Amino acid sequence: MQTLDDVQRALRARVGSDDALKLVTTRVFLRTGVNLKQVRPDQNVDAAVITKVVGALAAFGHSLT
Amino acid sequence: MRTQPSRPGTPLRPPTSGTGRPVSAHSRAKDSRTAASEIIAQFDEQLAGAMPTAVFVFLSAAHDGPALMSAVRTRYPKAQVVGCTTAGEFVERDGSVGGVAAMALPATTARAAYGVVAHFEHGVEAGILDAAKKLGRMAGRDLKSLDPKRWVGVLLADGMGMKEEEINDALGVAAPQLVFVGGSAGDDLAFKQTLIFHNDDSSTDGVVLLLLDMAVPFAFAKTCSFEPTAHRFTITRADQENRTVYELDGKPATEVYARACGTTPDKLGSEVFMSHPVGMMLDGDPWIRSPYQVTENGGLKFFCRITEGSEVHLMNSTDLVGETRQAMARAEEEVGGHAAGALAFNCILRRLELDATKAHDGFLKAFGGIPTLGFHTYGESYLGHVNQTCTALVFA
Repeated sequence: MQTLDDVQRALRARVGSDDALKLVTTRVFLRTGVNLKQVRPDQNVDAAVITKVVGALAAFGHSLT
Repeated sequence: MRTQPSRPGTPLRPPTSGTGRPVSAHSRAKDSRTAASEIIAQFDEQLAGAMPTAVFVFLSAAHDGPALMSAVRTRYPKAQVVGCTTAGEFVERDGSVGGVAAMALPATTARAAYGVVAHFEHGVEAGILDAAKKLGRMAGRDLKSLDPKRWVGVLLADGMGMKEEEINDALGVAAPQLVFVGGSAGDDLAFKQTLIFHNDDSSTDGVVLLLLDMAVPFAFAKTCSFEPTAHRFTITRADQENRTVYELDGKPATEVYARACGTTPDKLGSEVFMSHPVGMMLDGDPWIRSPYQVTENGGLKFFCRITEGSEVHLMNSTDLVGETRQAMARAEEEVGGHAAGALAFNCILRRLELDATKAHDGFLKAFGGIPTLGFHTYGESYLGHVNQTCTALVFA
Protein backbone atom coordinates (compact mmCIF):
# COMPACT_ATOMS: atom_id res chain seq x y z
CA MET A 1 0.00 0.00 0.00
CA GLN A 2 1.74 3.14 -1.23
CA THR A 3 -1.12 5.59 -0.91
CA LEU A 4 -4.38 6.07 0.96
CA ASP A 5 -6.12 5.67 -2.39
CA ASP A 6 -4.65 2.14 -2.50
CA VAL A 7 -5.96 1.52 1.00
CA GLN A 8 -9.38 2.82 0.04
CA ARG A 9 -9.55 0.58 -3.04
CA ALA A 10 -8.42 -2.49 -1.09
CA LEU A 11 -10.98 -1.79 1.61
CA ARG A 12 -13.79 -1.34 -0.90
CA ALA A 13 -12.88 -4.64 -2.52
CA ARG A 14 -12.89 -6.37 0.84
CA VAL A 15 -16.04 -4.86 2.30
CA GLY A 16 -19.13 -5.92 0.43
CA SER A 17 -21.91 -3.56 1.33
CA ASP A 18 -22.07 0.23 1.24
CA ASP A 19 -23.51 0.22 4.78
CA ALA A 20 -20.56 -1.72 6.12
CA LEU A 21 -18.11 0.51 4.25
CA LYS A 22 -19.75 3.62 5.68
CA LEU A 23 -19.52 2.19 9.19
CA VAL A 24 -15.83 1.32 9.00
CA THR A 25 -14.77 4.53 7.24
CA THR A 26 -16.61 6.57 9.89
CA ARG A 27 -14.89 4.66 12.69
CA VAL A 28 -11.50 5.19 10.99
CA PHE A 29 -12.26 8.88 10.49
CA LEU A 30 -13.11 9.42 14.16
CA ARG A 31 -10.07 7.45 15.31
CA THR A 32 -7.44 8.84 12.92
CA GLY A 33 -8.90 12.00 11.40
CA VAL A 34 -8.49 10.50 7.92
CA ASN A 35 -11.46 10.54 5.55
CA LEU A 36 -10.93 7.55 3.27
CA LYS A 37 -13.83 8.58 1.09
CA GLN A 38 -12.20 11.92 0.28
CA VAL A 39 -8.48 11.57 0.74
CA ARG A 40 -6.58 14.80 1.32
CA PRO A 41 -3.63 15.20 -1.08
CA ASP A 42 -1.24 16.01 1.80
CA GLN A 43 -2.15 12.73 3.52
CA ASN A 44 -2.32 10.45 0.49
CA VAL A 45 1.36 9.47 0.36
CA ASP A 46 2.24 10.13 4.01
CA ALA A 47 3.71 6.82 5.21
CA ALA A 48 2.93 7.53 8.87
CA VAL A 49 -0.70 8.29 8.08
CA ILE A 50 -1.02 5.19 5.90
CA THR A 51 0.41 3.05 8.71
CA LYS A 52 -2.02 4.61 11.19
CA VAL A 53 -5.02 3.97 8.94
CA VAL A 54 -4.01 0.40 8.08
CA GLY A 55 -3.55 -0.26 11.81
CA ALA A 56 -6.99 1.14 12.63
CA LEU A 57 -8.57 -0.94 9.87
CA ALA A 58 -6.87 -4.07 11.19
CA ALA A 59 -8.21 -3.34 14.68
CA PHE A 60 -11.71 -3.03 13.24
CA GLY A 61 -11.37 -6.44 11.61
CA HIS A 62 -10.16 -5.43 8.14
CA SER A 63 -6.56 -6.55 7.80
CA LEU A 64 -5.36 -5.42 4.38
CA THR A 65 -1.83 -6.82 4.54
CA MET B 1 -32.25 24.50 38.53
CA ARG B 2 -34.93 22.81 36.49
CA THR B 3 -35.92 22.69 32.92
CA GLN B 4 -39.00 24.46 31.70
CA PRO B 5 -41.99 22.38 32.81
CA SER B 6 -44.63 21.19 30.44
CA ARG B 7 -48.25 22.02 31.12
CA PRO B 8 -49.52 20.34 34.27
CA GLY B 9 -51.83 17.46 33.62
CA THR B 10 -50.49 16.65 30.16
CA PRO B 11 -52.01 13.22 29.59
CA LEU B 12 -49.97 10.10 29.10
CA ARG B 13 -50.09 8.71 25.60
CA PRO B 14 -52.82 6.09 25.84
CA PRO B 15 -51.77 2.45 25.60
CA THR B 16 -52.51 0.88 22.25
CA SER B 17 -53.60 -2.69 21.63
CA GLY B 18 -52.59 -4.15 24.93
CA THR B 19 -49.18 -2.58 25.38
CA GLY B 20 -47.37 -3.48 22.21
CA ARG B 21 -45.56 -0.18 22.34
CA PRO B 22 -42.69 1.38 24.24
CA VAL B 23 -43.92 3.40 27.20
CA SER B 24 -42.34 6.30 29.06
CA ALA B 25 -42.66 7.55 32.62
CA HIS B 26 -41.51 10.61 34.50
CA SER B 27 -41.41 11.75 38.12
CA ARG B 28 -40.41 14.99 39.77
CA ALA B 29 -40.56 13.47 43.26
CA LYS B 30 -37.44 14.13 45.32
CA ASP B 31 -37.96 11.09 47.51
CA SER B 32 -36.60 8.02 45.70
CA ARG B 33 -39.24 5.64 47.04
CA THR B 34 -42.02 7.97 45.87
CA ALA B 35 -40.32 8.44 42.51
CA ALA B 36 -40.04 4.67 42.03
CA SER B 37 -43.73 4.24 42.87
CA GLU B 38 -44.74 6.92 40.40
CA ILE B 39 -42.58 5.47 37.62
CA ILE B 40 -43.91 1.96 38.19
CA ALA B 41 -47.53 3.17 38.39
CA GLN B 42 -47.18 5.00 35.07
CA PHE B 43 -45.58 1.96 33.46
CA ASP B 44 -48.23 -0.41 34.79
CA GLU B 45 -51.04 1.81 33.58
CA GLN B 46 -49.63 1.79 30.06
CA LEU B 47 -48.23 -1.74 29.91
CA ALA B 48 -51.53 -3.22 31.06
CA GLY B 49 -49.99 -6.45 32.27
CA ALA B 50 -47.24 -6.95 29.71
CA MET B 51 -43.73 -7.54 30.98
CA PRO B 52 -40.99 -5.45 29.36
CA THR B 53 -37.74 -6.97 28.10
CA ALA B 54 -35.74 -3.82 28.83
CA VAL B 55 -36.22 -0.86 31.14
CA PHE B 56 -34.15 2.32 31.03
CA VAL B 57 -34.04 4.60 34.08
CA PHE B 58 -32.32 8.00 33.94
CA LEU B 59 -32.22 9.77 37.28
CA SER B 60 -30.72 12.69 39.13
CA ALA B 61 -27.58 12.02 41.15
CA ALA B 62 -29.54 13.38 44.12
CA HIS B 63 -31.66 10.21 44.10
CA ASP B 64 -30.81 6.94 45.78
CA GLY B 65 -29.98 5.22 42.52
CA PRO B 66 -29.49 1.65 43.78
CA ALA B 67 -32.78 1.76 45.71
CA LEU B 68 -34.68 3.13 42.74
CA MET B 69 -33.19 0.60 40.35
CA SER B 70 -33.92 -2.19 42.80
CA ALA B 71 -37.59 -1.18 43.05
CA VAL B 72 -37.96 -1.20 39.27
CA ARG B 73 -36.09 -4.51 39.01
CA THR B 74 -38.31 -6.08 41.64
CA ARG B 75 -41.43 -5.04 39.71
CA TYR B 76 -40.07 -6.26 36.34
CA PRO B 77 -37.79 -9.18 37.24
CA LYS B 78 -37.53 -10.51 33.68
CA ALA B 79 -36.36 -7.21 32.23
CA GLN B 80 -32.83 -5.97 31.88
CA VAL B 81 -32.89 -2.75 33.91
CA VAL B 82 -30.21 -0.22 32.99
CA GLY B 83 -29.70 3.41 33.85
CA CYS B 84 -27.46 6.22 34.92
CA THR B 85 -27.34 9.54 36.69
CA THR B 86 -27.93 12.62 34.56
CA ALA B 87 -27.63 16.36 34.14
CA GLY B 88 -31.37 16.49 33.56
CA GLU B 89 -33.78 13.89 32.21
CA PHE B 90 -36.83 14.00 29.98
CA VAL B 91 -39.64 12.16 28.30
CA GLU B 92 -41.68 13.43 25.38
CA ARG B 93 -44.07 15.38 27.62
CA ASP B 94 -41.92 16.67 30.46
CA GLY B 95 -38.39 17.24 31.65
CA SER B 96 -36.63 17.90 34.93
CA VAL B 97 -33.41 18.37 36.78
CA GLY B 98 -33.53 16.38 40.00
CA GLY B 99 -36.17 13.90 38.80
CA VAL B 100 -36.46 10.49 37.18
CA ALA B 101 -37.39 9.53 33.62
CA ALA B 102 -37.80 6.00 32.32
CA MET B 103 -38.87 3.84 29.41
CA ALA B 104 -39.97 0.22 29.13
CA LEU B 105 -39.62 -1.75 25.91
CA PRO B 106 -42.04 -4.63 25.38
CA ALA B 107 -41.11 -7.82 23.55
CA THR B 108 -42.87 -6.50 20.46
CA THR B 109 -40.17 -3.83 20.28
CA ALA B 110 -37.14 -5.73 21.62
CA ARG B 111 -37.43 -9.53 21.49
CA ALA B 112 -34.62 -9.86 23.99
CA ALA B 113 -32.12 -7.73 25.85
CA TYR B 114 -28.73 -8.62 27.31
CA GLY B 115 -26.84 -6.29 29.62
CA VAL B 116 -23.49 -6.12 31.32
CA VAL B 117 -21.25 -3.60 33.06
CA ALA B 118 -17.77 -3.36 31.57
CA HIS B 119 -15.29 -2.58 34.34
CA PHE B 120 -11.90 -1.10 33.55
CA GLU B 121 -9.52 -2.42 36.23
CA HIS B 122 -7.42 -4.00 33.47
CA GLY B 123 -7.84 -1.22 30.94
CA VAL B 124 -10.68 -0.04 28.76
CA GLU B 125 -10.12 -2.33 25.78
CA ALA B 126 -9.73 -5.40 28.01
CA GLY B 127 -12.90 -4.46 29.89
CA ILE B 128 -14.90 -3.95 26.70
CA LEU B 129 -13.63 -7.15 25.05
CA ASP B 130 -14.47 -9.14 28.19
CA ALA B 131 -17.94 -7.59 28.34
CA ALA B 132 -18.46 -8.28 24.63
CA LYS B 133 -17.61 -11.94 25.19
CA LYS B 134 -20.20 -12.12 27.97
CA LEU B 135 -22.82 -10.48 25.75
CA GLY B 136 -21.97 -12.88 22.95
CA ARG B 137 -22.44 -15.86 25.25
CA MET B 138 -25.82 -14.51 26.37
CA ALA B 139 -26.93 -13.83 22.80
CA GLY B 140 -25.62 -17.22 21.65
CA ARG B 141 -23.30 -15.77 19.01
CA ASP B 142 -20.14 -13.72 18.79
CA LEU B 143 -21.01 -10.03 18.49
CA LYS B 144 -18.98 -9.89 15.27
CA SER B 145 -21.47 -12.19 13.56
CA LEU B 146 -24.69 -10.52 14.68
CA ASP B 147 -26.89 -8.96 11.99
CA PRO B 148 -26.60 -5.15 12.35
CA LYS B 149 -30.07 -4.70 10.90
CA ARG B 150 -31.54 -6.74 13.74
CA TRP B 151 -29.24 -6.05 16.70
CA VAL B 152 -28.31 -2.73 18.25
CA GLY B 153 -26.36 -1.66 21.30
CA VAL B 154 -26.94 1.06 23.85
CA LEU B 155 -24.09 2.33 26.01
CA LEU B 156 -24.21 4.36 29.21
CA ALA B 157 -20.72 5.50 30.18
CA ASP B 158 -19.32 7.05 33.32
CA GLY B 159 -19.25 10.78 32.62
CA MET B 160 -16.12 11.74 34.51
CA GLY B 161 -13.48 9.27 33.36
CA MET B 162 -12.69 10.73 29.91
CA LYS B 163 -12.70 7.22 28.46
CA GLU B 164 -15.40 7.56 25.82
CA GLU B 165 -12.99 7.50 22.87
CA GLU B 166 -11.37 4.30 24.10
CA ILE B 167 -14.78 2.78 24.79
CA ASN B 168 -16.06 3.51 21.30
CA ASP B 169 -12.82 2.37 19.66
CA ALA B 170 -12.90 -0.88 21.64
CA LEU B 171 -16.53 -1.45 20.66
CA GLY B 172 -15.42 -1.04 17.05
CA VAL B 173 -12.90 -3.83 17.67
CA ALA B 174 -15.33 -6.11 19.53
CA ALA B 175 -18.31 -5.56 17.26
CA PRO B 176 -17.26 -3.73 14.08
CA GLN B 177 -20.60 -4.11 12.32
CA LEU B 178 -22.85 -3.25 15.27
CA VAL B 179 -23.81 0.27 16.23
CA PHE B 180 -23.76 1.28 19.87
CA VAL B 181 -25.48 4.56 20.60
CA GLY B 182 -25.64 6.27 23.97
CA GLY B 183 -24.34 8.88 26.32
CA SER B 184 -22.17 9.64 29.32
CA ALA B 185 -23.77 9.94 32.74
CA GLY B 186 -24.07 13.32 34.47
CA ASP B 187 -24.44 14.61 38.00
CA ASP B 188 -26.53 17.78 37.66
CA LEU B 189 -23.41 19.83 36.79
CA ALA B 190 -21.60 19.06 40.07
CA PHE B 191 -18.82 17.28 38.13
CA LYS B 192 -17.98 15.11 41.12
CA GLN B 193 -19.21 11.61 40.45
CA THR B 194 -21.54 9.88 38.04
CA LEU B 195 -23.12 6.44 38.37
CA ILE B 196 -24.18 3.82 35.87
CA PHE B 197 -26.49 0.90 36.67
CA HIS B 198 -27.31 -2.54 35.36
CA ASN B 199 -29.77 -4.58 37.38
CA ASP B 200 -28.18 -4.82 40.84
CA ASP B 201 -24.73 -3.75 39.65
CA SER B 202 -23.47 -0.17 39.61
CA SER B 203 -20.21 1.56 38.83
CA THR B 204 -18.56 4.94 38.97
CA ASP B 205 -15.93 3.91 36.44
CA GLY B 206 -17.14 1.79 33.57
CA VAL B 207 -19.82 1.49 30.97
CA VAL B 208 -23.15 -0.31 30.80
CA LEU B 209 -23.62 -2.14 27.52
CA LEU B 210 -27.12 -3.27 26.56
CA LEU B 211 -27.57 -5.43 23.49
CA LEU B 212 -31.07 -5.40 22.00
CA ASP B 213 -32.51 -7.99 19.62
CA MET B 214 -34.96 -5.69 17.89
CA ALA B 215 -38.32 -6.90 16.64
CA VAL B 216 -38.93 -3.69 14.70
CA PRO B 217 -36.98 -1.51 12.25
CA PHE B 218 -34.73 1.06 13.86
CA ALA B 219 -32.61 4.04 12.82
CA PHE B 220 -30.24 6.53 14.34
CA ALA B 221 -30.36 10.28 14.63
CA LYS B 222 -27.31 12.45 15.21
CA THR B 223 -28.01 16.13 15.27
CA CYS B 224 -26.19 19.29 16.23
CA SER B 225 -27.17 22.88 15.64
CA PHE B 226 -24.07 24.05 13.84
CA GLU B 227 -22.90 24.80 10.33
CA PRO B 228 -19.30 25.07 9.15
CA THR B 229 -17.75 28.48 8.52
CA ALA B 230 -15.05 29.20 5.96
CA HIS B 231 -12.42 28.94 8.72
CA ARG B 232 -10.69 25.59 8.40
CA PHE B 233 -7.64 24.40 10.35
CA THR B 234 -5.36 21.40 10.60
CA ILE B 235 -4.49 20.16 14.10
CA THR B 236 -0.71 20.24 14.05
CA ARG B 237 0.05 19.63 17.75
CA ALA B 238 -2.21 17.98 20.29
CA ASP B 239 -2.17 15.94 23.48
CA GLN B 240 -4.82 13.43 22.50
CA GLU B 241 -5.04 11.74 25.88
CA ASN B 242 -5.78 15.02 27.62
CA ARG B 243 -7.97 16.28 24.79
CA THR B 244 -5.86 19.41 24.42
CA VAL B 245 -4.87 21.12 21.18
CA TYR B 246 -1.75 23.29 21.18
CA GLU B 247 -1.33 24.24 17.55
CA LEU B 248 -3.61 24.92 14.62
CA ASP B 249 -1.90 25.26 11.24
CA GLY B 250 1.45 25.36 13.06
CA LYS B 251 0.50 28.39 15.18
CA PRO B 252 -0.67 28.75 18.80
CA ALA B 253 -4.16 27.29 18.98
CA THR B 254 -5.71 29.98 21.15
CA GLU B 255 -4.55 32.77 18.86
CA VAL B 256 -5.77 31.09 15.68
CA TYR B 257 -9.09 30.07 17.22
CA ALA B 258 -9.73 33.47 18.83
CA ARG B 259 -8.95 35.34 15.62
CA ALA B 260 -11.35 33.13 13.66
CA CYS B 261 -14.03 33.83 16.27
CA GLY B 262 -13.45 37.56 15.91
CA THR B 263 -11.98 38.03 19.36
CA THR B 264 -8.69 37.80 21.26
CA PRO B 265 -7.30 34.96 23.39
CA ASP B 266 -7.88 36.86 26.65
CA LYS B 267 -11.59 37.10 25.86
CA LEU B 268 -12.11 33.40 25.23
CA GLY B 269 -14.76 32.01 27.56
CA SER B 270 -17.81 29.82 27.72
CA GLU B 271 -19.94 32.11 25.57
CA VAL B 272 -17.51 31.98 22.66
CA PHE B 273 -16.78 28.28 23.16
CA MET B 274 -20.46 27.28 23.20
CA SER B 275 -21.27 29.23 20.03
CA HIS B 276 -18.13 28.17 18.17
CA PRO B 277 -17.05 24.59 18.63
CA VAL B 278 -15.10 22.94 15.84
CA GLY B 279 -16.35 20.16 13.62
CA MET B 280 -14.66 17.32 11.76
CA MET B 281 -16.60 17.17 8.49
CA LEU B 282 -17.48 13.81 6.95
CA ASP B 283 -19.74 13.81 3.89
CA GLY B 284 -21.02 17.25 4.89
CA ASP B 285 -21.90 16.07 8.38
CA PRO B 286 -20.11 17.70 11.34
CA TRP B 287 -18.73 15.65 14.22
CA ILE B 288 -18.48 18.29 16.92
CA ARG B 289 -15.59 18.84 19.31
CA SER B 290 -16.24 21.52 21.93
CA PRO B 291 -13.51 23.60 23.55
CA TYR B 292 -14.12 24.67 27.13
CA GLN B 293 -10.90 25.99 28.61
CA VAL B 294 -7.64 27.74 27.81
CA THR B 295 -4.87 25.87 29.60
CA GLU B 296 -2.03 27.58 31.46
CA ASN B 297 0.39 26.63 28.72
CA GLY B 298 -1.71 28.08 25.93
CA GLY B 299 -3.62 25.01 24.84
CA LEU B 300 -7.30 24.67 24.06
CA LYS B 301 -8.90 21.94 26.13
CA PHE B 302 -11.82 20.09 24.55
CA PHE B 303 -14.54 17.78 25.84
CA CYS B 304 -13.51 15.33 23.13
CA ARG B 305 -10.35 13.97 21.55
CA ILE B 306 -8.98 15.54 18.39
CA THR B 307 -6.29 13.64 16.55
CA GLU B 308 -3.19 15.35 15.20
CA GLY B 309 -3.48 15.74 11.44
CA SER B 310 -7.26 16.14 11.57
CA GLU B 311 -8.86 18.97 9.69
CA VAL B 312 -11.55 20.89 11.54
CA HIS B 313 -13.91 23.71 10.67
CA LEU B 314 -14.94 26.51 12.99
CA MET B 315 -18.70 26.18 13.46
CA ASN B 316 -21.53 28.70 13.83
CA SER B 317 -24.70 28.10 15.85
CA THR B 318 -27.95 27.47 14.02
CA ASP B 319 -31.41 26.35 15.18
CA LEU B 320 -31.21 23.66 17.86
CA VAL B 321 -34.92 22.86 18.01
CA GLY B 322 -35.45 23.00 14.24
CA GLU B 323 -32.48 20.74 13.50
CA THR B 324 -33.59 18.26 16.16
CA ARG B 325 -37.05 18.15 14.60
CA GLN B 326 -35.57 17.54 11.15
CA ALA B 327 -33.24 14.79 12.40
CA MET B 328 -36.09 13.02 14.15
CA ALA B 329 -38.27 13.32 11.04
CA ARG B 330 -35.50 11.77 8.92
CA ALA B 331 -35.10 8.89 11.37
CA GLU B 332 -38.86 8.38 11.45
CA GLU B 333 -38.86 8.16 7.64
CA GLU B 334 -36.09 5.57 7.81
CA VAL B 335 -38.16 3.31 10.05
CA GLY B 336 -41.12 3.42 7.70
CA GLY B 337 -42.78 6.75 8.36
CA HIS B 338 -44.01 6.11 11.86
CA ALA B 339 -41.83 5.83 14.95
CA ALA B 340 -43.13 4.18 18.11
CA GLY B 341 -40.34 5.30 20.40
CA ALA B 342 -36.96 6.95 20.82
CA LEU B 343 -34.04 6.97 23.21
CA ALA B 344 -32.18 10.28 23.10
CA PHE B 345 -28.82 11.37 24.50
CA ASN B 346 -28.60 15.15 24.54
CA CYS B 347 -25.45 17.09 25.42
CA ILE B 348 -25.48 19.16 28.62
CA LEU B 349 -24.28 22.16 26.57
CA ARG B 350 -27.42 21.87 24.48
CA ARG B 351 -29.47 21.77 27.68
CA LEU B 352 -27.77 24.98 28.83
CA GLU B 353 -28.68 26.56 25.49
CA LEU B 354 -32.28 25.37 25.94
CA ASP B 355 -32.26 26.84 29.46
CA ALA B 356 -30.96 30.19 28.18
CA THR B 357 -33.42 30.39 25.30
CA LYS B 358 -36.35 28.90 27.27
CA ALA B 359 -36.78 26.40 24.47
CA HIS B 360 -37.34 23.13 26.38
CA ASP B 361 -40.96 22.86 25.27
CA GLY B 362 -39.94 23.21 21.64
CA PHE B 363 -37.16 20.67 22.09
CA LEU B 364 -39.55 18.07 23.53
CA LYS B 365 -42.05 18.75 20.76
CA ALA B 366 -39.29 18.08 18.22
CA PHE B 367 -39.68 14.39 19.11
CA GLY B 368 -43.11 14.49 17.52
CA GLY B 369 -45.08 13.22 20.49
CA ILE B 370 -43.73 9.67 20.22
CA PRO B 371 -42.80 7.98 23.52
CA THR B 372 -39.29 9.27 24.12
CA LEU B 373 -36.78 8.91 26.90
CA GLY B 374 -33.64 10.96 27.15
CA PHE B 375 -31.12 12.59 29.40
CA HIS B 376 -28.73 15.51 29.25
CA THR B 377 -25.28 13.98 29.05
CA TYR B 378 -21.63 14.66 29.69
CA GLY B 379 -20.84 13.20 26.24
CA GLU B 380 -22.66 11.52 23.38
CA SER B 381 -21.71 8.37 21.54
CA TYR B 382 -22.53 7.08 18.07
CA LEU B 383 -19.69 5.08 16.51
CA GLY B 384 -17.40 7.52 18.29
CA HIS B 385 -17.52 10.22 20.91
CA VAL B 386 -19.03 13.62 20.07
CA ASN B 387 -19.93 16.88 21.82
CA GLN B 388 -22.82 19.36 21.62
CA THR B 389 -24.87 16.73 19.82
CA CYS B 390 -28.03 14.75 20.36
CA THR B 391 -27.71 11.10 19.39
CA ALA B 392 -30.79 8.92 19.32
CA LEU B 393 -32.07 5.44 18.64
CA VAL B 394 -35.47 5.60 16.95
CA PHE B 395 -37.61 2.51 16.49
CA ALA B 396 -40.83 1.63 14.68
